[in-house]
Amino acid sequence: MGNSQVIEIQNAAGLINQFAIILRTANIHSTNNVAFKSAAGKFIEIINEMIAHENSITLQLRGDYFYLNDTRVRYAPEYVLNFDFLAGMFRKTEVGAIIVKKELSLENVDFFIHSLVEADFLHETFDVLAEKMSRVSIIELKRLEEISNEEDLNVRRMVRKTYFNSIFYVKGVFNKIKSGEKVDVRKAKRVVTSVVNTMIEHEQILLGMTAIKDYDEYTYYHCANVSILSVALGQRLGLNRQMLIDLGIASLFHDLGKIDVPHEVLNKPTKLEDSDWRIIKKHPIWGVKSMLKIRDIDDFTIRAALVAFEHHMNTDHSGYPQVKDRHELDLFSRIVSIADRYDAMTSARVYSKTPMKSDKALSILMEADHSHLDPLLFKFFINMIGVYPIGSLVKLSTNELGLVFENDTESLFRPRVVLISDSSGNWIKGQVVDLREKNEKNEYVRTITMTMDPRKYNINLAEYLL
Amino acid sequence: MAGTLNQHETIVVEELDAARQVIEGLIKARKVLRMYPDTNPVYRKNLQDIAGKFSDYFNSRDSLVLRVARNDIYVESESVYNNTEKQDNLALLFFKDGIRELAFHKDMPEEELEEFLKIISLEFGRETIEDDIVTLLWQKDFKHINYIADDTFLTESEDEEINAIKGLKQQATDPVDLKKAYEDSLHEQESATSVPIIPLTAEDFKLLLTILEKDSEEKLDTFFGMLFEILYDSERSVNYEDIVFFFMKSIEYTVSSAKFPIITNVLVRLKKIISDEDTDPEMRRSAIKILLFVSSSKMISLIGTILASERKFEHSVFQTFVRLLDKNAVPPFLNLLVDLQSIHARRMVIDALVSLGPKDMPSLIKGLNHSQWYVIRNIIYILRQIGDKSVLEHIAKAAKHEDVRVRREVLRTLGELGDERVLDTIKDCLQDDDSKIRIASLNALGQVDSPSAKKIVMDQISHSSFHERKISEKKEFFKTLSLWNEKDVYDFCIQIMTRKTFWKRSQQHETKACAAECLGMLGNRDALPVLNKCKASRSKLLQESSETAIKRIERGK
Repeated sequence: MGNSQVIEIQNAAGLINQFAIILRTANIHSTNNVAFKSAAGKFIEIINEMIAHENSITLQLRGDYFYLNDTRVRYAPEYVLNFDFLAGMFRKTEVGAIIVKKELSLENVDFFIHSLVEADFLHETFDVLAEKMSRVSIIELKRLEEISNEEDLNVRRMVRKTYFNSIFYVKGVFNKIKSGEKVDVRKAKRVVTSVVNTMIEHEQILLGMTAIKDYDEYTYYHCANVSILSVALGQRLGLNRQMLIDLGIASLFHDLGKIDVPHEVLNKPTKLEDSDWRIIKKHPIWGVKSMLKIRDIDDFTIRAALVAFEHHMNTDHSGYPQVKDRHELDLFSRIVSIADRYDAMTSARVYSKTPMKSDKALSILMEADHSHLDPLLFKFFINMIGVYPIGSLVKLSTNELGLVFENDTESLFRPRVVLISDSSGNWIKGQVVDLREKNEKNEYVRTITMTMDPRKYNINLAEYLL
Repeated sequence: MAGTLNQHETIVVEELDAARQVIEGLIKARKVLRMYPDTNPVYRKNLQDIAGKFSDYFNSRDSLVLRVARNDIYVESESVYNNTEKQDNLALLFFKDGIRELAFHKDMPEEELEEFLKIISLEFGRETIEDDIVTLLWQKDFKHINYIADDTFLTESEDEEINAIKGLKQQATDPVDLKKAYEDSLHEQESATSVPIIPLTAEDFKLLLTILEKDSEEKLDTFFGMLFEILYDSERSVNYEDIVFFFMKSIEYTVSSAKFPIITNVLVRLKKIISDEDTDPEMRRSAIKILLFVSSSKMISLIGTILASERKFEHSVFQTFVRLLDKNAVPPFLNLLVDLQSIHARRMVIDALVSLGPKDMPSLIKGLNHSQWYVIRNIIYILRQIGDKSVLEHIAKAAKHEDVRVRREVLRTLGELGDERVLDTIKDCLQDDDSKIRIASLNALGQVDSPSAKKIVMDQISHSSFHERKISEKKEFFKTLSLWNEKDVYDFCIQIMTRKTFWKRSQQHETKACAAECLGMLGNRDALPVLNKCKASRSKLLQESSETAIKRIERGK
């Protein structure tokens, strides 16, 4: 693990924002318009200042993120719409990177933006655009490239390691608390730091891991999944690194109270009786107890204890535990609450062996969102999970069946899919296809026509996603 | 980066030496940073030295890449550090937390280097440090220092992951099931989406910013709210002993953060629980335990540390908190009077004891026997502010204290609170060796404002030894006497003024001059003839005093 390369180059986010602004302006006005010239002037000012310092600037789109001179640009919430717009423009024109080698003039920018807008409007190929741009030697364009298979595999291996580290850590913590041993918080920080780093670089792959559920070790997988989903949501909300770490650890420990729930209640194969529920409902308080026993009080413990206490409380104060004095639930609790419910509903449990499909779970949660969950956070969550959550079984227009493998925030309806059966229904060894792929007639090769429940057909997601 | 060593280049001896110098610098810096504060010249000098060593290396290369092994640090394949000891082993310091490579890059600012040195100088053996080096480096997110860390030590063994994956993949998807899915897909009605994605709007992001802003607010109040909810539920969920312990830990943290308004709220809620008739007896006992803990010597001593640190918090807020404490807080607060040095901190403690003192007067009284004069003086001040006359006799005992500052405080207090019972004490002080005390006694007598007090003053003036006193002191006697604007005082002064003087004339004139001033202060016009007569006295002092008194009477002042 290296340093997470989140950009600090002054005004990097501002540059991307301004880039999007001039493109948007050029969509409405001609390049002679004052509005365009003013926006372009500001853009030139920012980029030329950077070039003076950095010599050359490479703005690259990798996955969902922009990188400026190989350093990821952290987006501020106020810029996110423009970031998405620009990423969309890159994808539509197949531009993967823009290299600016010298200081730009208004003429250069005018030509470049005009060419880019035209390429988008006329659906020109990247080659046509690159050919045009070859006239401006100080701006070089690179084609948007897919990550090579080998690189992809290595990344997946690394992400998988991070995922399992968090599961094993939770397992270790539960066992240590049960046997009265001390819990190593330094290790928790390392585990979660790794989750946060991975989340920043490979959000979709890590999110995909949460689709894998282990029936036998549900509690540990659940804690790790909730932590990953919470960190992912926290990242979407723009929480800073330290907050993401705190959120990651607090969510990892959210169910600590379950240690005190008798095994026979926690793993009861039949429907839970009222008496069982009475015990289960104590776990938030028991979680606080465990948290306060293993840690000294500090800002983090306070938040983690609140998360343990509040994660089953609804925004309208229904849920449990019932409280005498109502207060607004903590932001972390509201995040974890969404992640917790979503993961629980989509997991197989001892008493409910068939878990819900992700979309079904989201629909149910959506119905109750205003009284139970924070509506704004839930809106972010749905956008994060996507139209086709990772692990969804989909039928394609080619009659092939596949599992959603990786989502793309720009093309929500066109994820990457791992094929599991051919167009005749025969099993095939997971080839990953990108639903954004078009044929020579500029038509999509594959489109999702139906979603199905993979559990209904005993499809083992781990087989394809790990 | 240009100039970085690649595999085919060979590092030259000079560069290895420069790298060794950097390592030595790092080792030295760890020691220096632990010993000296960052304002110390030695600390600053050391920082410059190590920055210089990095500069030397960067003269030939753009980056210094250190590969870390358990007991060695390498540049390329050359060892630049070796230590097989466990103590003070720089390689092991990095290695044990998983760091396998450290790279420093040219143009590294001194601030970044300093932050890095601060991290490696921490005593990681201490339990209070909850972060390891990797986490700390990650948090700092340095731009010119990179690292590569190995996370394998986070899992017990590599097999663990392999076995888990094997377990998860064990039940392979059955092609028959898959065929079934395929067939079903051909017959079921096609429906591609079921989750409506609502696009995020600018308004959503605006609302998000408000939420994030709100999240930075204090969380302790909510946290205590949670603890109270658990306390209400203790009977069923957590035993009382545990919840009392959690309250204590949390209160200790809150006090150490000087968040007194929060503790005040907690105390108010606890008192409500205690006073509520319907409270479960066990819950009440728990609330009392917590309440007593807040007033315990441990907590008051902690408050002392906060006060000594001169952290800023509102005086009124602190006093509101103190008023809610139990009487057992009084003795430890008295101890703070001994320990605290700063005037501001002592002032806070004194004010606290003024509020709290009435709950435990015996402890305050006991404090009057303290060996330190300043403690006694403070306690007398506190008792005076409390204003409980029942302790006057105890205060009076301190009138013989060897320190003049204590005696003066006693007399001020006896004056303000005193009555007939303390007159003998004050009278005795009129004979004190220190003139300030004698004058303080007079002031006290004036404040007691009783006929007996007046009589003491008049008796003293009438005494043959009075003439021996200095003129300034004589003036104070008459000034005090003038506070009783009564006929007997007037007559007494007239009597002195008209008394024939045969011997010790100058001393007698001094007394008369003071009596003249007293008459002036009394303002009775009947005294004018006598004063006019004295104006013609051969004593210049008497002349002037009489003249001043006449003017004063005539102007009606």
